[in-house]
Amino acid sequence: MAEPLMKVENLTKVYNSDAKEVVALKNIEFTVQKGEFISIVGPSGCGKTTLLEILSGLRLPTTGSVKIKGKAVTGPQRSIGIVFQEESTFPWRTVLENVEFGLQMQGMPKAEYRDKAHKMVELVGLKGFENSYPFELSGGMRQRVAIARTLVTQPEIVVMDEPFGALDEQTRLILGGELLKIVEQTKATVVLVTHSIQEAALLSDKIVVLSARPGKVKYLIKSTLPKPRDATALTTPEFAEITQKLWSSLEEESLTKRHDVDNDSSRVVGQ
Amino acid sequence: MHRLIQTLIVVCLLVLYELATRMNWLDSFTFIPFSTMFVNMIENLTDPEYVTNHFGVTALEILASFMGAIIFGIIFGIILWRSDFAHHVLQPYLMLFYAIPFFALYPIFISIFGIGPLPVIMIGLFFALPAVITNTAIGFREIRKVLVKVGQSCNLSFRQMIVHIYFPAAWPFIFTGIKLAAAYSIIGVIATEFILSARGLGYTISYAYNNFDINGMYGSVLLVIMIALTVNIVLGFIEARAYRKNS
Repeated sequence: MAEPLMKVENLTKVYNSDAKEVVALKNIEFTVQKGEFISIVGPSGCGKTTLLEILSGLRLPTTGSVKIKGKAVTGPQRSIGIVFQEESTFPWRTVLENVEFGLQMQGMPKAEYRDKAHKMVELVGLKGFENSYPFELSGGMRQRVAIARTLVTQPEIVVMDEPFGALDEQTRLILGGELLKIVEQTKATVVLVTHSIQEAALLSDKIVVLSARPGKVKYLIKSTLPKPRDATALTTPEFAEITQKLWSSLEEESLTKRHDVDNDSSRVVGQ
Repeated sequence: MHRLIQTLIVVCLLVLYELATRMNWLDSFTFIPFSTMFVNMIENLTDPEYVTNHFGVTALEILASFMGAIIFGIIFGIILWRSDFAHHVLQPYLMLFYAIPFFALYPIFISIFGIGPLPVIMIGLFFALPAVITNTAIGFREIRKVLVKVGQSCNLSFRQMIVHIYFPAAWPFIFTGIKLAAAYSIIGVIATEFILSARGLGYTISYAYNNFDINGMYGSVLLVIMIALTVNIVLGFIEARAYRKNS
């Protein structure tokens, strides 16, 4: 197998709060190949967002490392693009100006970045809205702008934190299907954090299932869904099989977690 | 449509007022017709001495105290935002700042800054300053964290962060402070001229009033209102444009 684009090795993150140590992530390991679409799923509170922030260089791990092409990530860098869960478009910029942002900041000549931004706006299906302001768009459209703004800089790897988390399930899956097409055309490598099993199953080549706190890699599931896919893949038996696997592994996790909590409370009562 | 009705309301009120004064429904020692006010304002403005000594002086004083309030207000606002220490130490004083009746301190301002435009400018400036400081500090503090993260993820320099993220994101708040500062500096300057100046529109108003020159007084009052209106319209125009185009 070729040298992986991203390699996560033995990654652990410990938070210190009020003299208490909270282990958020423990010995996380996985690799991402160039062009792959990877999802990270896990029960709530398993440290998904922390992991994402470490992958993108916004936070540093306590031990272990994230390497891109063999080089450790020590801070935000151009090779990593991020799409945030929250609404993150700039309200003072038009759609086109939002998409241009990264390239403009890199010092690219105006004619060149304008041209690239125009193409990217078209690719995400917002042609005709170039001069609109974010407040004039729907939530789904704004998230497309955010995705376009990240993809246009052609990062080696795109990290997404539940980009469609604020949207309803249908819109979410439709946009997911569109995202796949865009990703295919731009040949981007994507790491997606999500809590939607359907979304993970539909989009991914590989799914990393995290355990409840402390987050550990519990399963690595390879998708057998044929490509190219779109929302119609939702009805195939392969899709059902993957979601089934994901469900059972996550269910186990939620149950163990509940069990722990019960133990804790009984201990408190016993004191 | 709204515009039309708004204009109609003003026009109707002016006509009604004109009528009320002309028909002597209102006491003619206190109220003069609007047309007379307007004529007086124009007459005043054709007098070069009035323009340089009063209108010009007041305009410059307002401009100076307004600009000073913007510059120092944004600087102090940024300090309050960057330093939690400064924020916590200075916050109560800033609140107090609002409560200080600066006009009552005019003798002190005179003894420090002498007679002339300087004490007037300083009172106007101090009067307008807190609005800019607080709004700037709030504006920067309230920036949504995710926008900052977007900037960080693009690996922006500190200068780029300030110019392309912090300032545009805080701009609506800062501009609110600036609009308040415009109103406060006009009030501060005119009111200070009432009491401690021998020049300026505030002085002409109080001089005319003391000499039973009701027409002259209303001419100056109308001019002050015109100045305030113009400033407001200009700021409204800048606000609309700046929000569309500050990248």
